Amino acid sequence: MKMNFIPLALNLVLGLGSATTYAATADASATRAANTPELTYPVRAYFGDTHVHSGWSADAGLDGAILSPEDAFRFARGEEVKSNTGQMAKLKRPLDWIVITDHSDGMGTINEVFAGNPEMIADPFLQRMYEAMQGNDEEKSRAVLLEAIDRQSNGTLPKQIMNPKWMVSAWERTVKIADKYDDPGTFSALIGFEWTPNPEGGNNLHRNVIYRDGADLAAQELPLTSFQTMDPEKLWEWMEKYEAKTGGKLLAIPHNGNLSNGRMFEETTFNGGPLTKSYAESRQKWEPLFEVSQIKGQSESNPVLSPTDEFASWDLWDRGNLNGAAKKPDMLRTEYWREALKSGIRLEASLGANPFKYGANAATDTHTGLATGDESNFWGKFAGAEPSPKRWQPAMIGAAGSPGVMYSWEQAASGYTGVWATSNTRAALWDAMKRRETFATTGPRISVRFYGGFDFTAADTDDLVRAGYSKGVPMGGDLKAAPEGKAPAFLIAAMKDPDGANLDRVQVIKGWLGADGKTQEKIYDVKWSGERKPDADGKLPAVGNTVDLKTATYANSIGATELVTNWSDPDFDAKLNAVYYVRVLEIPTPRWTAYDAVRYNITMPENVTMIHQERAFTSPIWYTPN
Amino acid sequence: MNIRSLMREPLLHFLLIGMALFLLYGSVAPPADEATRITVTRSSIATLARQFESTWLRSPTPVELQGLIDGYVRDEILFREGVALGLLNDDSVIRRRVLQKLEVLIEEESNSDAASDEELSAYLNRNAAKFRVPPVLSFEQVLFDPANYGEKLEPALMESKAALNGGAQPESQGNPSMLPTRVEQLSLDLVARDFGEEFGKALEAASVGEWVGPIQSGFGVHLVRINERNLDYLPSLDESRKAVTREWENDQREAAMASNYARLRKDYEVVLEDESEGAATR
Repeated sequence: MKMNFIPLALNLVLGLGSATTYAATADASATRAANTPELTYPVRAYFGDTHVHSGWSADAGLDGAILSPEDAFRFARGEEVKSNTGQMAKLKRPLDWIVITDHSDGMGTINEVFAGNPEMIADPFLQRMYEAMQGNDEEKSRAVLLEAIDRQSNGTLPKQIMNPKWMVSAWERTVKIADKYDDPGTFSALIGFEWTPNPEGGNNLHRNVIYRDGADLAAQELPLTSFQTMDPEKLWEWMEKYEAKTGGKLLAIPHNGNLSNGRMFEETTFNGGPLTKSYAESRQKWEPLFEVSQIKGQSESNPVLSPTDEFASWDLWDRGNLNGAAKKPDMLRTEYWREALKSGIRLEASLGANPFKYGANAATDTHTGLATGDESNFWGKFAGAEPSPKRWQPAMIGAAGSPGVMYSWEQAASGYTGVWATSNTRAALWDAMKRRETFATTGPRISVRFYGGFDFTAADTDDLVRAGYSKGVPMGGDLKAAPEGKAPAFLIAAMKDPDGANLDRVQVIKGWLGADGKTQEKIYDVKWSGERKPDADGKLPAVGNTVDLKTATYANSIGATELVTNWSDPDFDAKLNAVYYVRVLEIPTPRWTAYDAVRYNITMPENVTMIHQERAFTSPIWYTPN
Repeated sequence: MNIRSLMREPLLHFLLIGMALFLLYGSVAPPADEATRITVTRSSIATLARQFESTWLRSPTPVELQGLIDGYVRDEILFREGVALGLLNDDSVIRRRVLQKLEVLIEEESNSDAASDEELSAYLNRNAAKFRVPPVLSFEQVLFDPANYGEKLEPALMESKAALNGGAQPESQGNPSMLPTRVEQLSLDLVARDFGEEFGKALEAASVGEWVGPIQSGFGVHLVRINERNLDYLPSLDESRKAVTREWENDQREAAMASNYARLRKDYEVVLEDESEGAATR
């Protein structure tokens, strides 16, 4: 199975029309991009982080983060920066791209006043300014403006405005900085912000909004805040308005369903109304991806929901919501991605559209400006969690001993998103996210290919990428009704991180809607390292463990460097809607706590996890016969 | 007026009595100073109760609520006392936060003008290492997974190298892999990114035009033939304008900070205590 990516790509450009849907829309302004041939399909996964806060995020700033978006971009590009606690920080390998997503809430004075933030309009002058901004009265607006100038020169502006924490032109500066660090072909700096609704005190419905555009378009509209609305449907309306006004493009990525206390994938509208086809279509249109892993735990699967999945218990933050309010058991069902994928196909049967058609991505959600997903170089969630001998100890969410508490050692050093884009540009990366050609990793730069189709042959693994694109659909795509007597086959290839750990196994996770209207799931081991044989119950023996906790090291003496297969579904029923995605597991490696224990020569209690299996998840392929 | 006549002055008596009364009152009356008054507002009590409720899923009992209020008061008193003792100055996080606020203000004030081409060209030449474009390579490679060969790896490599140098197609050699056999025009940093750091370093130095190896990567060992390796070069200003401008601006920003500091620094006297010579001033 020889792969000659570049010549193949060129052949396809010249010869195969069927692949032209993957044409790049590269911004050829930079030399490197201009020298890069336009490819018809992606040959390389570009790794980056969709979710990074700098010290400009109000909550990050309050916790002592001081790094600016500028520092965050420099760090992601591989430069050394001084951390929030004054230590020198540098990535071992630069990222290919990053989205800085500071919170819109509290981002700058003007959008706060415009949004009617109670803290702002408590001041009578700001109340007048708010009214002037809402209304159409030009005379009133001018009076407010003159008063503002007057007050500015007399030093009598309200203290809310004078406070440097509201950097007056925060958004304009944010987007300009992103433009400055965007080098098409080498490093893409995407513009974004986080919209942060916490209804009922900490039920996490947060979304990151990501722009395809540059500052010229993004600056035309101030980001939506949760003071204006907490209803996701209103966010989608706002996105639609932005696109109509500017001609730009937006997508949104929800995260931390695990901290939403049942609300992320609830089967009602935000206000409790019934779901409709138009709701499902909007959600699917505006939200192509879901963040399945980040520092505050994973939202991919839960052992309560998937009791037969031996790998579902990892990075669990499932005891409460963002404020530590305790979780009730029945909330879990509407918090996790896997369950939502299954519910989505069930709801599609009744609504006529799938409200939860989410691909996979991962991010850090760091509030330090330092996007680190590596266990051996983990800089923590907040400035206060930057490397130090005691950083693993304190409670991070909730009060120590309370039901919803999460401790600092439970932070996951995760994750990054791999994007199968045709070039490293904002436009090409965004387009790939939009078509869900992405996979999530808990940090390692594992590459995963995943194609579904009805015409693959055994020989297609020899020419996997070309066969995948020419005879099937890549991750994120759809398979329609199966031809008579055929079951879908899947071409799957996983490669280890070139500088990381070997791979244990590749699995396909299938969800489907039974004839009884109930959803099911099943996990298939489809390729694994070594000579292991599944036991009588079909269970594959564990890969082994080479981790030495005394030195926080592991050896690639077990596992495989790459796992490639052509798998077809043995339980396929052509009449039933189904969804398939791939999970790749690494061999066991030391967790960040193990590196800390060695670095600082400290002993942590036995309940602190020290060894884990890092992993990757692809966006699904959906089978929809009708 | 001498002291004796002054002592008989009724106005003085009045003043002295007033002063004594003032001192006496001060020692027995409750303190009225803002710095030592803590008002626990109704809304902060409600907030404490809400926080409790969201954590424990029930309202606090009156005893628990009193405990929460006592905790709040305790924190407030200790924080104020800590501030009075100057403990804020010892806290690196708080110090850096205050510094950041000031730095933002300074940065806002220092609007640097755009650089001329002459300035940028000079900057580019002064910082050549930062802007050099990495070498671009075209190469072929064959992977050998050591796990498949064991003891026979060395002979297999020798044999394969001979075959390749004799004109064998690389696709016919080694182990199948998802790695591309032929790589065209790839920048060295991306070679390292795709094959691992060690492999990238090796290809920077390997000889061109012949099969060489074994070269180690994260995937195994390789035989490699580099067909073309362009040298790295210093780009013209036009080619690198965006990056040069960005780095120049960053330097300007840092320089503005430095000069601002130098200006402030002049107003301070700094005493360095030296163990051997006592105090030294500069």
